[in-house]
This record gives sequence, C-alpha cells and structure tokens, in this order.
Amino acid sequence: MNTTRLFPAETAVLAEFRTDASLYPFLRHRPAAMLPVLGKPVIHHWLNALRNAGVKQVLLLVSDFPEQVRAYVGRGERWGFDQVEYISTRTLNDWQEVTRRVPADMLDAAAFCSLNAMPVEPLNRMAESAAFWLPARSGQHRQRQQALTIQSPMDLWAANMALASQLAESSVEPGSFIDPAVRLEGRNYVDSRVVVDRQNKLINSVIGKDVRINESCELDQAVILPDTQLGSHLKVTRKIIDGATVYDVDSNCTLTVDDPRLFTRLTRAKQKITLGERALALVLLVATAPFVLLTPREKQVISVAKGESFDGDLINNDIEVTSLKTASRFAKRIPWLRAVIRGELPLFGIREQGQLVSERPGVISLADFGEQSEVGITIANQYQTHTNSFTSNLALAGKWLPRAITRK
Amino acid sequence: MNMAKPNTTPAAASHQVVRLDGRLDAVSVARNKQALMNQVTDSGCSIVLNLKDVNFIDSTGLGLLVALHKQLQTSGFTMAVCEMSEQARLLFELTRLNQIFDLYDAEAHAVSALQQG
Repeated sequence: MNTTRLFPAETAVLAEFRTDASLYPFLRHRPAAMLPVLGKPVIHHWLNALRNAGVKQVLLLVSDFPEQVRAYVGRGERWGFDQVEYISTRTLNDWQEVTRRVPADMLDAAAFCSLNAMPVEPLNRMAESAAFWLPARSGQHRQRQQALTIQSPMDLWAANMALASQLAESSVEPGSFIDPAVRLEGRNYVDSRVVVDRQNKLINSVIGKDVRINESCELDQAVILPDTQLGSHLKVTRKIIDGATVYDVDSNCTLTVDDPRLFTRLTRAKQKITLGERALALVLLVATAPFVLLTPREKQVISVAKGESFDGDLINNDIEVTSLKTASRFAKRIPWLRAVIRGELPLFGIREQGQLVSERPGVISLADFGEQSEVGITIANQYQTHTNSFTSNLALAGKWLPRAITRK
Repeated sequence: MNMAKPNTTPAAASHQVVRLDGRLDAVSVARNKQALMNQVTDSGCSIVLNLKDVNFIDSTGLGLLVALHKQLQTSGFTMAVCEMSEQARLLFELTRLNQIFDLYDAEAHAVSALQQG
C-alpha cells in the first residue's frame, strides 16, 4: 500500500470511540484512553508519538471520565505542546461525528488519531484519504497500518504483550518490592508500588501500579491492571485481572469474583487529614509532652504527597519537622504531632522506606508494630496506604502511646 | 438471595449425583454446609457433583468443595464435578483446583468415569 508522510502537521485531533461491549468491565473506572499498556495509558503513547512527530497543538475529544484525561494530560507540559484543548462529547461512533465537532479551519490541516488503537511509528496517513485519518473502527486500519487496536479485552492483552515482548529484559520500576525468592522469567514489566510476595513466579507478564500479589502464585502472560490484589496460590495464565474482574484470553470469557482471598480491587485511603485526626494528635501530644522535653532533637525534611502529576508521578511538598534523637521508632516522631495539628501531615501513615516516603508518611505507622524486615515494612506500608478506617487507627493509637512514652 | 441446595438423585449403588443451585458463597455455605457434609457422609458412596445451576462461586464455595473432597477421600470414596459454567471452570483453573478435582463436561461422563472406577 502507498502511504505518504502524515507529518509535518502541527495539530492533532485525538478522539475516543465506542468500544466493543466486551471491554466495558474494564471501563468501569476509566475511559478507553486511560487503559494501561505497559504501565502507561494509551493516550500517553499517542502523545509521545505525536510529540516525536513535531505536533504542537492537540485537541482531545473525550466522553467518559473526562476529568481523568484532563488530570493526566493537563496542558501538555510534559510533552512540550503549545496548546491542549478538550471537547467533551457523548460517546463517538464514527469520524463523521468527530468532524462535526472540530473547528472548520482544523479539518484540512490536522492529523486525526484514534485513541482506540496504539500509535505505530512512524505515523503515516492513508494515501487515498483526503484527510489525515487513522480510522478507528475500520477493518482497513488493522490490515493496512498493522496497528494494535484496542476494542476488546483481547486487544488490550495483545497490546500489553506486544510491548512487553520488546523489552530487552524484565523491568521493575522503583518503589516496588519483589521478594528475592520470586522467579522472573522472560520479559516482565513491573510498575511502581508493587509488592510481589515470596515463591511467586512471573513469566512474560505486565504488572500495573499498586498491585499486591500474595505468595505462591504463577503468572504467565498475565496483565494485572493497577490497584489489584491477588490472593495466594493462584495460577494466572493468559489473563487480564482488573480488581475483581478476570478476563481469560483463550475462552474470551470474563468473570467477576470480588473476594480478597482471590481477586479484589485495592482502594486508596483518603489523603485528607480530618479534624478528628488533628484532635487526636493534640491529645497524644499533651500525653507525651512530659516524656520528650529532655530528649535532644534534630531537624528533618520530609516529603508529603500533594497529589499526582499529569503523568502519574507523585507531586511532593517538602515539610520541615523536628524529630527526637532516640532509637525508639515509636518516640522518634512525637514532635511530628504538631505538623498533624497544623494539617500538614497525616497522623496515621506509612513508615519511611525508599520511595514510599512520599506516599503518606504518618506519625503512627502500622509498620512499626510488625516484622522489621524490608518485606514486612513494605507490606504494612501498602496495607496502610489502602486502609484508613477509624476503628483500626484508634486501636493503633492505643498501642502506640504506651510504647512511645516508654521508648521501647 | 439464592442458596445452594443439595438435590440428590440416586444413580447407582456405587455413587450418588448431587446437584447444587444458586450461589456458592459465604452466606449459602454457612447455611448448607453441615447438611451437605452429613449427606455426603451418610451416602456411603462416591459423589457426582453437578454445578450446572450454580451461578456464582467464591473462595468459601471453593472451600466447601475441598472439604467435601477431603471428607470423601477419608472414607475411601471419590468426587467428580461436572457441568460447571465457563466462569466456574475459569475459577477452578485460576485456583489450580482443576488439578485436584476430576472435572467433566457432562454428568453422564462423570457417572461413567466413577462406574469404571
């Protein structure tokens, strides 16, 4: 087939179209544009490709969960775009609907890209097409461009596998813990803040952010989407797991079992520091005051997560706090209670450890009470990140206080 | 909420067919486990467990099946599971229980397998 170079075109229109119904279970929490392929949303791959092709302005047509796309892309600073504009629409079915929403002066000059497919570089246009189309639902798209369309769970799995196969070796992002006894075979991709417990085996699999895999599982060509917990002793071969939703590639069958011992979605604890938390910090500060007055102190700067940037990285605030010079991990953070009262720090959070320090460092941490090995702290931190119930926190404070004042 | 209810059909002296329906989850298992275990114990033969009308299984339901399997093994009998939905089959595969249980597509195949010993 004859193709001509699509670019230089300085403007690109990205549109998200209706997908097959089989993909809907995976779109309950995200739009199709945000489906992760090798740890990054589809839209991220497109914006990278367009930036590499010299695009300066981007127009995004989004329907479901537009706020997620806006939060992720922002004004496009990460990609160096001059301008990113959004048009919220109802679900689009074809390109005719797109053209009705795009300003007339853009129609002849812009490149049109479908978010229901992965970009194929170098970006080309169809020679016989008057405009710079990359059709979304056309069968020609798959044949001629050999693009990886993402219209069904099968496509999503295939896209992840295709990109993973291009890795030179297994890749583990910082901030993840993989037990030394875990066997990594082939080309695996493990995103950040993942815990893989002992005796697991990963073969050519893609693991998303904030995933917890309990012991003795075997994952072979599996795609685990973010915020998923897998129970122990599971055998996951050629499947997508998204929280409680399981898709089997071979039978093209989707199953939902929301059971923490098998599969479940991990929800993140609220980052907001409540009035109750501040009041409890005041009580604890008063109760511990007599025990800390004579202890030497030191200044320390810690990072607290303010939120996530448009590319998913954490944005931190540096806060200066005073710590006690003591070996007791319980007493060390007592002066931090003042930062809690000011609303700068959470009372209950994780223990400092590598990159997780920026997640939610709290004065009282579950990790201080259990096993002090790296894996023990990592698991307790991850649990703390995803749970923040009033009763369990109150019990934690009850256990913390006597230990802090006796410095044991 | 549907409950799993044992529904037995005498098939032959060497085995019994037990049909379950509804959901095999924490609620229905808590209500029916003892009755089902007693029935299996009293039957004094191998069991064909037909899951055709079971529309949901969770880890508690799987636990019940493992308990039944163990109970029968202790007594020197076996258990065959048949006619499960695609979702149930997937769950058996994910939890590796397909390596423990004898799974059959049709009840007749399961009965035949038990008769052949």
